[in-house]
This record gives sequence, structure tokens and C-alpha cells, in this order.
Amino acid sequence: MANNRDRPSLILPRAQAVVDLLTAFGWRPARQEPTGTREVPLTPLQPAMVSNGVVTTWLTRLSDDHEMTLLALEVSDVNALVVELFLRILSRYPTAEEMSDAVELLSPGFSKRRTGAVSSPAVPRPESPPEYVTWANHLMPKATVIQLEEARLAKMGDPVTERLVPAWRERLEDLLWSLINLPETIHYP
Amino acid sequence: MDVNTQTRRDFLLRSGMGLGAVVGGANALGQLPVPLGRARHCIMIWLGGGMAHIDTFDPKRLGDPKTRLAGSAYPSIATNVPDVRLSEHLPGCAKLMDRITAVRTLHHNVIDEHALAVLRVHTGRPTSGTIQYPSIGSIVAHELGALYRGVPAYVVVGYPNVARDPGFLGPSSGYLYVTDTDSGPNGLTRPMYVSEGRQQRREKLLSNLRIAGLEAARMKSYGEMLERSLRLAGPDFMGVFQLDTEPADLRQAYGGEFGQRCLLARRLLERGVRFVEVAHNLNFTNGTGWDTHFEGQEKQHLLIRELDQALSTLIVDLEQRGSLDDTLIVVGTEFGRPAQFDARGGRGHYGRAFSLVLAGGGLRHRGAYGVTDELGMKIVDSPVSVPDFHATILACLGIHPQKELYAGDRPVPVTDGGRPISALFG
Repeated sequence: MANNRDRPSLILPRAQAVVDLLTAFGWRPARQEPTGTREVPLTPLQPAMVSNGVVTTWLTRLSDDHEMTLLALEVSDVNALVVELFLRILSRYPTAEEMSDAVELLSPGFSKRRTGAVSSPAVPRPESPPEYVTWANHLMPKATVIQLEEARLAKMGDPVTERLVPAWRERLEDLLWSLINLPETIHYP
Repeated sequence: MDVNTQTRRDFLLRSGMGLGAVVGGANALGQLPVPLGRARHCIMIWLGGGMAHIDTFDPKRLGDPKTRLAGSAYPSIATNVPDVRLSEHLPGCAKLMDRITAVRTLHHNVIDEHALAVLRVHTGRPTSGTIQYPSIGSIVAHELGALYRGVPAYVVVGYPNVARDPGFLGPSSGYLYVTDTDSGPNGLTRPMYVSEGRQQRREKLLSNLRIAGLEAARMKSYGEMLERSLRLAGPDFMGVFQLDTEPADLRQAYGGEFGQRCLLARRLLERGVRFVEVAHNLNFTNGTGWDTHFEGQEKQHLLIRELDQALSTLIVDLEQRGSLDDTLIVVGTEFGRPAQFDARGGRGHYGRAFSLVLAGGGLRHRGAYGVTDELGMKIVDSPVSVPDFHATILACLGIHPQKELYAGDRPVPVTDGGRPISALFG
């Protein structure tokens, strides 16, 4: 991502979030020759980007149209939910120990997890927002304000769903987070 | 390993040719051109946009933007080094010029586009179709690593940028970045909706899953990295970013956000980071930053004052802590600006002579090195190319300026034929 002038009005926060994660794992914008297997030496910044990166926020914060939200609302019992999670993320069934740990986490409050709220009408992001930054106006101070606000919104991700009780939703989110951060997930995409 | 991955080196070795004659490597390192320095770490201040050398570190006769008379926009002042003058907006640095050297005779031919010039000054080479060259920070991080285990070797205070990237050295020579002193570093800072208690629950879940699950042996090293990253995100390293533990009068001496970034850089070095690049924040002081075309020239003096305050405070702060000789300070920018003013009182781009600055690092400072003509446009004496400047930085940090890096199997000299400035060493 080229922001060679270090100007905040030229940042692209959402694209940058994805590029940061990929770059940590050895992606480069220019690829001079096709690569079959990539030998990438490990650094602590790689798991750091997965733990705290913006992309992980987007993946683990349950908004109204997050697949896990829909799954959590529709599933009939805790066991089925846990099995679905493991199948979708790790492509395998949970071991007996994993199953009992996850069920222990998600059982309290499971039966009362639905709040009964209907999905809040999605606030559409306008196709052409009334004020946006382009090359022609990026030197104006307002452009910096707009892009810094974009960065803040990107970091927060979509608003959380109101259809699940917050305490239970947060436990599901934390389980989701831990599954995504497993070394097994990174090595079995 | 099939035949296609056999390297030229393997083939020649098997043909029985002598190791020394053909393979290079350690044998290619000739005699050192200068005695190597002993600086332990480096702060590189990056002034995005192209700092006008005639208005800062290489002042000439006074000109006038309104009548388009070529020359400096501001009068110059004397410094504590005889015969070396600076712009009047650098009074702090003027008192410290015996610890600073303004290298006034940098030159390159890349002035049409900022991105290309930024890349040139960071990597020392034109772009190549076959490999991506590493930045000077990545080279230093690769060669020396961090001072203490578990700390990143290269940190950028600013935005990520392909010019700062490690290129063929790979992500292990990459950087951690933090966009401003109010936020934490990217990737180590918990999202704000995750409380301490929630973070502990997450980490417990993760460690239970790892014990109960199917972690194969080859995932073990990733697992170790995971543990290290969790430690990095802990208070021990992250405490570095708490600037409010510094005395208030010191924070005030450094000045605004840019000064605070320099203070953060000093703290990072103390914590064991080897190379910190500090970008001058270009939020609101001057819309164009240092790129002073047209009306951008009007508020340039505010930027120069900001630089002066932060740089002089940094030098004095390091000196008072006894670590100025251990710390090389570099002030970089992508090119200079001509003596002539444009139609609206600003300056364009100019690369045939411009100034970059070195301070500290145990070098034999002399205020200024190299001589330009009466308008700072032609080099009269002692030209310094960008590879020469890089070689000076490397030699100051104790890295042999003629060694070779490896892009896969391909040897790449650490600079493009650069020679360190011998007057600054020994």
C-alpha cells in the first residue's frame, strides 16, 4: 500500500487491514515469479496480527449478517453448535475434551440466548457518501478528518447484533476467536 | 530436490572449481574502507515531501518568494561550528552542530515522482523487475537483530509503506508500526471492546484448545511464536508506549506530536529496538507537508521549527542519558528543492544536490560535510551518493559496508557500491 507521502488523508484503512495481515505472512505486492510453496520464517508479529488485527475483529464480532449469528440463532442444541463451529473452522469433529470444554462454556444462558429483537435495519453505507476524499482534495484539513474517521470505523467493524444476549454472545465470540488463533487453523486453511 | 533447483553454486562446486575463487561470500569482503563504528541503534527521522535544503541545513544568500528572487527564504544564523551556518529557524540545532553533520552533497536523479524517490532513498537502488530491495531499516534489523530477545528489531512510527518493507529479506526483517503516539502498535493492541477479563478468558480458551486438540509437531514453532506474541502484547513491552510516565517538562521540551514520536523512539531504543523510523506527522500543520510547492511554502517555517525543537531535544536527551554515542540519528527526505521559486512562491523538486543529516552515533561530526555552489544547486566538493550515505549508516552501526545479502541464492551487495564517508570515522 503506497502512502509514500505519509499523509493521513491518503490512507485506505480497510484495504490496509487486509494487507497488514497478508504481509505479515509473507505476501508481497509484486510477485516476480510464480511460487508453489512459500518458505516464510516465523515471527511473533504473525500471530500478533491474527490475535489483534482488524481483520480478526471483522471475523469475530457478531454483527447481524455474520454467519455465526445466524447459526447461533437457528441451532437447536449446544452440542450441534459446537460441532458446526469445529467443522466450519477446523474441518474436523471436536475431540471429546474439546467438546466438553466448549459445551461447558456455551451452555449457561444457551436456552435464553435469543433476545427476540428483530434484526435492526441495516444502515446502508451510501454508494457515494456526500463527502469523500480524492486526490484533488486530499490536501484540505477536512480530508484528514474524514479519513481518520474512516480508519476508526474500519477498526470497529460492523455494529454488533442485538438479537443475542450480550453475555452469551461474547462467550461465543471468544470461542470463535480462540479457534481462529489456533496454530492448526493457520496451517490448515 | 530435483535438478531444476540445483544452483549455479552447486554445479561449480561439483565441477571442482575453487571455493574461494568463485563462491565469494566472506572472501569478497576486502579490507574495511573505514574503521567500523560502534553505535548500537539508529533513529531515522523521515521528512515526507522533500525538505528544501536551502531553507534549512544549507542556507545561501537571501532570496524573495514574492519577487521570485532565487535564494533562501529565511536569513541564516551562525552555529557553534565555525563557518557552518543554518537557517534561522533551526536555533536549537545551531547550538549542537558539533554533534551533527549536515551532509550537503547528496544527489540522485529521481525527482519526478515522490514514491520513486522515497523508495530510492530508503533502498539505495532503482527498482528492479526481478527482486524487491529491502529498506535500510530492514537491512539493519536483519544484520543485527534486536538488542534484547523478544523485542521487535524494527519499528516504524508512521504509516506502512512499500519503501520501508523488507523486500527479499522476508517478513522476519519487517517492522511493527504504530500510527501515532496515542494509539498502540498495530497488531499488539487489543481492540477496545475486549476488556482485560475477556482477554484472559480468550487466552485460557486458546491454551485449553491447544492442549486438548490435535497440534502436530510442525505447528510447534508457530505455537512458540504465538506465546511470544502474547508476551509482546503484555505490559512489559507495551509499557514503552505509555508516554505519560515521562516527566512533563521533558514532554513539553520535545513539543507536539512529532516531538512525542521522537520521545517514543528513544524509549523504544532503550527497550531494545534496533532501528526506529519516525515519520514527521503531516496532519494539520502544513497541508502539503515538506512538499512546499506553491502556497505550501508559507507555513514551512512551522515545520522547520517543529523539526528543530524535536531534534535538538532528542540529541540533548540522549546525551544526558549517556547514549548519544550509541545512537545514530539520521534525518532523511526524498530530495531537495531548487533555489528558484515557482509562480506562487513555492519550490519544486531538486535532486542534483540536497542535504541529509547525521547526528550522534560516535561519528566525528563537523557540522557540515560537502560543499555546494552559491545557490545550493551544484556540488562543488565531495559528492555523496545515496549508496554512500547508506554505507556510512551501516559502517557506523558496525556492519561491513561491502558484505553481501542473499535473495534466495542470489548475492546482493548490501549497498550499490557505496563507500562510507571516511572523514566521519576514526
